[in-house]
Amino acid sequence: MKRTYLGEFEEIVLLLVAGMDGEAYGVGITHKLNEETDRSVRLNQVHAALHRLQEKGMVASRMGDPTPERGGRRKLLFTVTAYGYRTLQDIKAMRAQLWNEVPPTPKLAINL
Amino acid sequence: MPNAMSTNPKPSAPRPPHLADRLLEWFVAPHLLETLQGDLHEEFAYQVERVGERRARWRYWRDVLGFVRPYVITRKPNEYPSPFFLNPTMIRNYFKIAWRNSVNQKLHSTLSIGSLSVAITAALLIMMWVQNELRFDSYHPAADRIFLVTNQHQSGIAQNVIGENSPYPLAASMVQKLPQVELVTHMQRSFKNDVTLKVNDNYFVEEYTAYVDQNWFKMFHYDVLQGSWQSFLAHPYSLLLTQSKAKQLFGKVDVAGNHVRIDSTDYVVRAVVKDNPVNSSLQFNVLIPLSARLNTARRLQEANTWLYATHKTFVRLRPSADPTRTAQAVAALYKANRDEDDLTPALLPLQALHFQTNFDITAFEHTEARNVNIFTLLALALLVSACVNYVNLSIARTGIRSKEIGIRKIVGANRGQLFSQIMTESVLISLIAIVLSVLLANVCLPAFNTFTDKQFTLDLTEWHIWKLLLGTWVVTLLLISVYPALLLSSINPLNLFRGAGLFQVKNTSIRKGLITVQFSITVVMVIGVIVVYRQVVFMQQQHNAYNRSQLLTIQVPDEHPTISSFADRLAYDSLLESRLIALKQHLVAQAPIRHVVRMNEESVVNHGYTTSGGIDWDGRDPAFQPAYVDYGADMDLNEITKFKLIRGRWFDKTITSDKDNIVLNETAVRQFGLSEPVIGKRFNNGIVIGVVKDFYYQKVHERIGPVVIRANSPNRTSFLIESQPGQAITALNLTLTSFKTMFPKLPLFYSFMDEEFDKLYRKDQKSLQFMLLFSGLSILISCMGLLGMAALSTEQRQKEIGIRKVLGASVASVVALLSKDFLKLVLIAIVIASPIAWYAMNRWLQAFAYKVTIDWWIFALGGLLALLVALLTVSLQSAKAALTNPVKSLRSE
Repeated sequence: MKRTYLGEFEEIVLLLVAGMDGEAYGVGITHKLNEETDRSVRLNQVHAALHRLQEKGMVASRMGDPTPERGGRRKLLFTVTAYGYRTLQDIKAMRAQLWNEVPPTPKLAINL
Repeated sequence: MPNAMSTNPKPSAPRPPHLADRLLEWFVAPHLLETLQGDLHEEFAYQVERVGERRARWRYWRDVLGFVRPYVITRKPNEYPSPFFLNPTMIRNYFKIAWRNSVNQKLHSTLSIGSLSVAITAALLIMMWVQNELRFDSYHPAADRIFLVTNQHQSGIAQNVIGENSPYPLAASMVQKLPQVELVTHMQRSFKNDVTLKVNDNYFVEEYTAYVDQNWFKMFHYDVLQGSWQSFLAHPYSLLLTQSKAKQLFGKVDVAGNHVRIDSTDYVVRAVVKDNPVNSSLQFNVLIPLSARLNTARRLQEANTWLYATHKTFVRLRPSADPTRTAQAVAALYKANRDEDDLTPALLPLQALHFQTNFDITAFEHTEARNVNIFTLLALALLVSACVNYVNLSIARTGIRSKEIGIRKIVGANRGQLFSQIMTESVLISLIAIVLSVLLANVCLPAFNTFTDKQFTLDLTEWHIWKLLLGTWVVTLLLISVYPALLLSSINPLNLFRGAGLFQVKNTSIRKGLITVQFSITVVMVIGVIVVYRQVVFMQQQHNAYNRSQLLTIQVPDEHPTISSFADRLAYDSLLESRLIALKQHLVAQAPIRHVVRMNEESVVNHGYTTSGGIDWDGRDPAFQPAYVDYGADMDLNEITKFKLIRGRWFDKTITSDKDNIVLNETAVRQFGLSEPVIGKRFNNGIVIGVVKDFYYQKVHERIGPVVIRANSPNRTSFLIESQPGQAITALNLTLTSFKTMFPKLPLFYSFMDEEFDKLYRKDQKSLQFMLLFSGLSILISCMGLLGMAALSTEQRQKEIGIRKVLGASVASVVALLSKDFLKLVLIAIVIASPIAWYAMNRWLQAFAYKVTIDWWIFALGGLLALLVALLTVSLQSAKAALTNPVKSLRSE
């Protein structure tokens, strides 16, 4: 089955969008990402990823409510689409299948 | 609601850097801005808590810059795209609508296109002249580095006149001594009518010929058609002719090698050149090498003196040279070589030569720079006037067109589209007008050429003509775009539907303002005509010392005798004297001739040559050498010119000592400072015997100077002849026959005083004609505009008029009602125009030494004329409206 290629970062962002269940938006995702993955991700990277995901049809956006710290501006909230969710599941299944083939104690390269 | 919480909760809360925000707002696509900026602000607030404000601000900047990405910048395409307003289809539509509009509104388009093309034609012709004036002498190679050495004589400083001649040796010595000089050439002009060309037994008198030196053609550009200037310069007795001169002399152009006899020498035509361009100061049709004039050692020696300024010297400086410094160097040369220190040299740029008008005597054609300004201004005024018509009529019609514009707006036209639609209309109208005016100008060109004495052609292959056309077109377009500018700056779609007119400013006040401007221009012109007319009439009335209609002057021809010694000269002169006395006696005896006077000057009407020196009287300060006019004639001069004697007496033939006595005019007595008693005072070898009232001996422009009338001059220049009333022609024929027998085979020059008079005031007559024509055009254009406006307003008020008539209004009251508004405007225009006209005409009159006063009634008359014309135009329309049967206008079907 041919499916749209999803980069590693996009995949994580998509996962986060799915995890935040309709309440995902730029800053929220960035903060969560930074907390949970111990990366230092910048807002514009997240936005770019969200933009690409939306172009690929894996997330949908809608306007949310304004908050005071945003200077009264509304949020752009993202929800994962069915297609996006399917893609995530596919990836997960594929990974699981690949994990199954990994022996319990694989030979590791030793740095001499 | 996006704006419900637009203020920060804590006013003291730190805010993100303002500049970064501005940058963000600028580059982010509008549909992304809100959420993106919101995210950034939220992040900022979070970071302030986390790392402090200072570092948060840095991060904010970094974040903002991080968003400079194509996907952020790219604007979202409009959901309902409107076609580009310069789309070809739209433009075609604009043209179509514009065309239909003009065809539908025949009166409107005829009036606006008509007045525009009339004005553009006039402007085009005038600007052609102006352009030619401004391009004078620019076609020579390195024309900006060519200068004429001018010299101001000490006696000329007071009168502010300069001379264009320099001493002969200056040219050679400039080349030797001044390193900044690249090339020097000098020329001399012949005396008037001095050169007689004999071609196959026909005599042609050339008014002026030019004697040029070896470098002439290196400095000045000539298009040689046949022969070469090198061979012209190689032989002393050579001629260079212009094409049309060759045609006049030989009847053909290819005449190189043909012989022409001047006096007793055979000259060979060595070159034929194209006619001098209209924009050349050097309008000589016959050129002779200077070596032909200085052909003997004696003549050369005579010419080669620093004492007299005799040759027009042109220099071409090296590119880096400074003309002022060069002039100082010339002054130093004068100091080293001349005994007298009475000449102040200066370098006049060749391209400024045409506008330099204070030469005492000049060989070149000049125009006053202010004339160029005046004509440009007049052309512009006319153009403005015509554009006012277009703008006015268009504004008046927007009421009618508001529906069209409304529909266009509903369908989705934006400002750009409305603008380009109206501009297309303006472009179309102005293009039609300019094409029409090119045709019209072509028709008027021959008359214009006669009027200006030039040969202009409207040659569309020439670039400068295109520049002219484009310039006129652009100016016209700019002027008539006042309309779209006004319209668009105030379009409010709501007003369109409310039917409340298109303009924020009440459009009637714009129209009224424009009509006032237009009529002000007209009134200024009309007043101008009256003043010019009065001045011209005034000037011609001043020469009242003689009866012009029966006077003629005939010049004594120059026989060019071969004279080798002073004794020869004396013998020839005394022989000529006796011949002339015999001739005079013969002529006086003829019945149709009343009086004959021999004179020492060419004309009694135009004799402006001043001399200085050569006069002395008792009590004269030796240093006092006043300039004066030397007036020499037979003693019976007063038989023809009735001088009014104020003191003393006129010459008396019976008193032999009167031969050396003189008569002065009033100014002479005053300016010479003669002490009482004036009569009987020693003057030269005689005494002052009489004082005559000041009289005009040249045109009235010039102030009357001191005149010394004497009877002992060699009166061998001309004959002044008065015929019996009504027998002028017979008298002329008799005179000519007698002169021909006395001077066989010599060309004779004669003129009637009337003609001389016309020549004297031809320039002023021309200004008068020009002003007449111009004010005529201006009136025509204003009336066209007024007619259009009146037609429109009567059309709009048709029903009102009908009702008024039904209720019993008289025709007169209706006409008054309709005309009143317009007449009020004309009255305002008169008030505005009067001071402007006064100022302008006052400036114009400055050129005349004796002038009319500008009386109040001139303004009244000018205003009245304008008012009458306006009334006539408006009442044509309003009378038509007032006379219509009200049933017609009130009937509604």
